[in-house]
Amino acid sequence: MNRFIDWLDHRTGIREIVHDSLYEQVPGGARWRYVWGSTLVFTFFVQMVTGICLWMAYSPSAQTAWESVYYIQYEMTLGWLVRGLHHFAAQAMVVLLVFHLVQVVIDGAYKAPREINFWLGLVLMQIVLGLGLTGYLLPWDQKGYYATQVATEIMRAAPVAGPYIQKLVQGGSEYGHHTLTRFFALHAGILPALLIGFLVLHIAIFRRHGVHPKDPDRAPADPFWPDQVLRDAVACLAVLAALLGLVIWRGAELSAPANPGEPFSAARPEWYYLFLFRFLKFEWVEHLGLAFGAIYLPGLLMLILALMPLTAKIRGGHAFNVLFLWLVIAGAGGLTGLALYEDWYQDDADSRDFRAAVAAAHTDGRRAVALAQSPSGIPPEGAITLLRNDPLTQGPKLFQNYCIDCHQPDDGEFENPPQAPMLAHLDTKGPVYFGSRDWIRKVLTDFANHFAPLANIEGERAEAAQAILEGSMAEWSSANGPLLQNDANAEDFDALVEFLYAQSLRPDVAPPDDPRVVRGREIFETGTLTEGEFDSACIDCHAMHVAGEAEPLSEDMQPILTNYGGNEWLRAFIADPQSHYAGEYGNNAMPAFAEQLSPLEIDLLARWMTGDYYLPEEAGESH
Amino acid sequence: MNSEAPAPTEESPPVSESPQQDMPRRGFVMHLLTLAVSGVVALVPLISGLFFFLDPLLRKKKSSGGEFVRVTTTSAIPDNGTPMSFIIRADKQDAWNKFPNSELGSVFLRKDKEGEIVCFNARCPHLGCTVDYKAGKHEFVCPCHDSAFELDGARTNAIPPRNMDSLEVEVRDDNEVWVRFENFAAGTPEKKPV
Repeated sequence: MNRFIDWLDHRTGIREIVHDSLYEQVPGGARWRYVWGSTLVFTFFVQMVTGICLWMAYSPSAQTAWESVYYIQYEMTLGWLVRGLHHFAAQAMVVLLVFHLVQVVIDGAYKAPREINFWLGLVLMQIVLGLGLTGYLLPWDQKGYYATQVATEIMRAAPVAGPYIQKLVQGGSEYGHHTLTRFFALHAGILPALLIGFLVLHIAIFRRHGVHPKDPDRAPADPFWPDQVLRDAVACLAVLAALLGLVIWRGAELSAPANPGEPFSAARPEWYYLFLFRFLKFEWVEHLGLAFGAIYLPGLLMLILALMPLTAKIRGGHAFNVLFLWLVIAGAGGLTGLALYEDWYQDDADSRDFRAAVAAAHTDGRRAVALAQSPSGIPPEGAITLLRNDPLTQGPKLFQNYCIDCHQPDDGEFENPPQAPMLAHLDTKGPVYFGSRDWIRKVLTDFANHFAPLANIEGERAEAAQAILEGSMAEWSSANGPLLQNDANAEDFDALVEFLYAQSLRPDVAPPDDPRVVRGREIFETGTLTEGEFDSACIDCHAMHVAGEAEPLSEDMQPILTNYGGNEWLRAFIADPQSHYAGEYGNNAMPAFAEQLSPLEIDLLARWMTGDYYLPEEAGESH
Repeated sequence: MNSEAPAPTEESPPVSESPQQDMPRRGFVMHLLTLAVSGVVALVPLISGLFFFLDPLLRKKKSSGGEFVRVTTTSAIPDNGTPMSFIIRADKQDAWNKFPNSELGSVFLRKDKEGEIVCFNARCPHLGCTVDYKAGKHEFVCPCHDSAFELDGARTNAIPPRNMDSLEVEVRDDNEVWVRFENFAAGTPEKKPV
C-alpha cells in the first residue's frame, strides 16, 4: 500500500494535497459555528447521489414524468427513500444556506479580503434556488405544475425580455413535453455543472484565506483534522437524521397527474417561497405591479446583500448589514408565518376552502396512485386518463354540477328548496343512497314522503310532478306499504327488496339463486305475501326482464324495472327519463341530460352511483 | 471541508505539526469517532442509492411472456409445411405502463409431415437477431451472423449454440392456434427462459 501511495504521490503530489486539506490550521480552534459550509457540501453530495439515481429512472415528458415518478415512489427498491431524501435535502439546502449566510454576515466573514468569495456564495445561492424551482416541476403533478406556472408567469413580468424569457424557459407558449425536457436539462445538467464550478472556486478561495476567526484568541489554533472535521461530520449526521426523519414521517408527496383542465385550488409555491407569495397578495403590492413585487424589490434586496462587503467599509456599515439581514429574515419569516396562519388556522371562508382543496388534492393524489396500482395499470396515453375516466373521481363532480340543485343532500346549503329526492352525500364519497336497499324500502312503503320534494317543482314540469305524487305508485305505496311493514311479512319485505336490488347487478347484490331473491321474485310476480296480498302485483304495471334470462317476466309496460338502479337503467334514465322510464303512460318530472352530458359523462355518473369502479383491496397507508 | 468523504485511513496518524501529541489516547478516539461519523454520513445516501440502482436485480420478475397467446387459425398455416411468420401480441407491462395487445416478438408456425403444428421463436439463439425464412433454400437463416437451421429447427452450422427455440402449441376450439410465447437467453447451449 505504501509503495502504491509513494508511486501515486510522486506523480500527483497527493500527500501534500491531503495534508493541506486536513491539517490546515483553524485559528481559535475548532468551533461549531463553522459547520454550515460543510453541511451544505454534504447536502449537495446527497443531492448528487440521489439525483443520479433518480435520473436513471425518470422520464421527462408530459406522458411519462408523473408515471415514472410514481414508479420510483411506489414500485422501485427504496425509491421512496431515494426520492424522499432528494426532496427534503433540497429544502434543507435552502435552510442551511440561510444559516451559512447569517453566520458569515454576523461574523463579518464577508469583509475584505473575502468579498469575492461572498459574491461567489451569493451566486451559489441563486443556483440552489434555481435547482429547487426546476426540480419542483419535474414530477408533473398538479402541485408542481400549478406552482411552477406562477413562477414562469412572473418571468413574463420582467421588463422588455420577459415574454421571450418565459417562452424560452417553457420551450413554447404552453407547458408541454419541451417544458419538461428543458427543465430537466437545467435541473440535472446545466445548474449542477454551474454549482460544481462555483463551489470549486468558492472552496478554493476559502482555502486561500482560511476560516474567518470569530475571536482568534479564544483558544490555540487547531488543525482542521480531526476536531473540526468531527464537528462538521456530527452536524452532517444531524442533517441526515432530520432528512431521514422527514422521509419516514412525511415522505415526498406525489399529487394527481398534472391536468390543465382540472383546477387546483390548493396551489402554493414550495414553502420557502411562501413569503414572496404572501407579499404579492398585499393589495398595495398588487397595485404597484407584479414586476415590482416579484422582480424589482427582491432584486433590490439582493443588491443590498451583494453590496455588503463595500457597505462594510463605511463607518457603521457592518452594523447596518447585520441589521439589514435580520430585518429581511424577520420580514420573510413573518410573511411565511402569516401565509401559514391564513392557510391553516384562520377560520374564514377562504381558508376553509383552501384546506378543503388541499384535502381534495390529497384524495385525488391517493386515488391516482391506487388506480396506477390497479390491475388495469397505467395505459399508454398516460396517467392523466386514470382520474379522467374514474367514476369515483368524476361522478361526484358531475353530480355537483348537474344534479345537486334538485337532488339536494339534507346537510347542504341551497338557495331554493329541493325538487327531487336526495340521492347522495358528496362529502363522504361513500356509498350512494340512490338505488340502495333503503331507497327501495322507502319507495315501496313511503312513496309520498320519499318524493315529497317534487312538490317544489315550478313551471312546465310541475304538472308531471304533481301527477307522480298523486299517481298509481303513490296510491299503491299507501295502500300496500302497511302490509309490507306488518311484522309477519318482515322476511317477505326483505326478500322483495333483495330481488329488486339484485336487478341492479351492483357488486354487493345477492346471487339469483339466493332464497331471498327467489322468494322476492315470487312476490314480485304474484303479489302474495305470507299474510295478505297486494291489491296489484308489481308485474301488473312494470316491465321486468331478469338479467341472464331469455324471456322477460313482463314487457311493454313502463316504468321499466329491468336492471333497476343498475348501470344500463341509470344511463338510459339520465339520458332521457321520459322515454325510458315514464313512457306514454307514466309521468316524469326530470329533464333529459343527453344534450348536456356526453355519453362518457353519463356513464361515469351512472357507474359512480352504482359503485362500479375499482377499489383497492385494503385502504392501507403507504409512503 | 471535504468532511463527507471518508478520509483515507493510511493518512490518519498526524505525525507532523500536531500540537496535541500529549494526549495520544484522546487523539486516537477522536480519529476513530470522526472516521465513523463521516463514514455513516457518506454511506447512508450511497447505500440507499446502490439498492435503488440494483432494483432490476432485486425485484421479482414480472415477465410478459410465458402465457398462452392466441396467434392465428389452423387454416392460415400452409399444409405443405412452409413456415409462416406471425407476430405475437399480448398485454405488456413496461415499467409503469401497461400496453394492451402490444408486440412481444414473432414466431414461425408450420405443419410437419403428420400435420402437427410446430412453433419456433424467431429470435436467433446465437445473439438475438430475428431469423428469416429463405423460401428458395427451405431453411431459416439469421441475417446477422448466418446461423442456419433446417425446417425442423435443427441447426445446420456451428454458429448458433443450439437449435431454434421451439414453443408449446395448443389447438383450441378445433381451429384456434395458441402458443406459449417465451424468450430464451441467447448465446448458451441450454434453453433458459429470460
